[in-house]
Amino acid sequence: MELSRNKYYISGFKELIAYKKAINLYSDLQGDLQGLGLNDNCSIRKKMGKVASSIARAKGSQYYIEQQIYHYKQALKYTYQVEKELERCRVKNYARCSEELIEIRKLINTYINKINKEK
Amino acid sequence: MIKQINADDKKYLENIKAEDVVIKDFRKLKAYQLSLELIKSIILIANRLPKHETYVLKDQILRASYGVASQISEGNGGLYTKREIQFCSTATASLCEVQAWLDICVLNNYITVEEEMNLERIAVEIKSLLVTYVRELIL
Repeated sequence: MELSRNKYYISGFKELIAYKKAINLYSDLQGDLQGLGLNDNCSIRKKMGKVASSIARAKGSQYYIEQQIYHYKQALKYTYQVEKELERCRVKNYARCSEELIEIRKLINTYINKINKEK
Repeated sequence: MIKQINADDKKYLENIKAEDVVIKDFRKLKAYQLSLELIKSIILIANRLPKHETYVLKDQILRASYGVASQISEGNGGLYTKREIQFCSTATASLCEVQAWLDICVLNNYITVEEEMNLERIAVEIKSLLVTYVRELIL
């Protein structure tokens, strides 16, 4: 693994727009998921939480580019899973949630591209 | 086959003083002690969570917090610098995950903002210590 030097600082992930969007979507989904069964509700919330936590993990692993990219890709994976589950459960605001998830995906791809350019 | 120890080897082994052998003790690391403190606080929060959060929030936040302490100890026990840095990096990442799950706890009103701020303070302290360890290892 390539070690990125000159990074002796604590990186903050809370300023990331993708993270903010993921957290906002999590809180917005709370209301929409009320009508669903417990299993579906828990599954979607867990995956949505994992989107946010994977973005945080990616930002946290600041010394290794590969680790960062891996966690961003994990976040991408969870966005697809959430979208599929929302579609399957026919959630009320599916269209809006889907748009938000696409935006998050675009942002994550931007972060990955940025890391690859800086290599 | 058992290796025979000759007289020279024996003499050499006898000459090794106890203080020459350095065994790294991760328990003395401030970051490790703080991570245990963080785990204690998170267990208290996790026990307060409702039953339907057992496999959602509780499971994830506990795993992430245990990860911090275990990565620090595993990294410190290794012989290779690069591996140690890698473990420090993973520990920092786990800390970030803990912070993210704490944010979600606040969203769900499971913990107060003051509680979160308190844990955030510990997390930032651990992170800064980890950054210092890495800096010392790289330089």
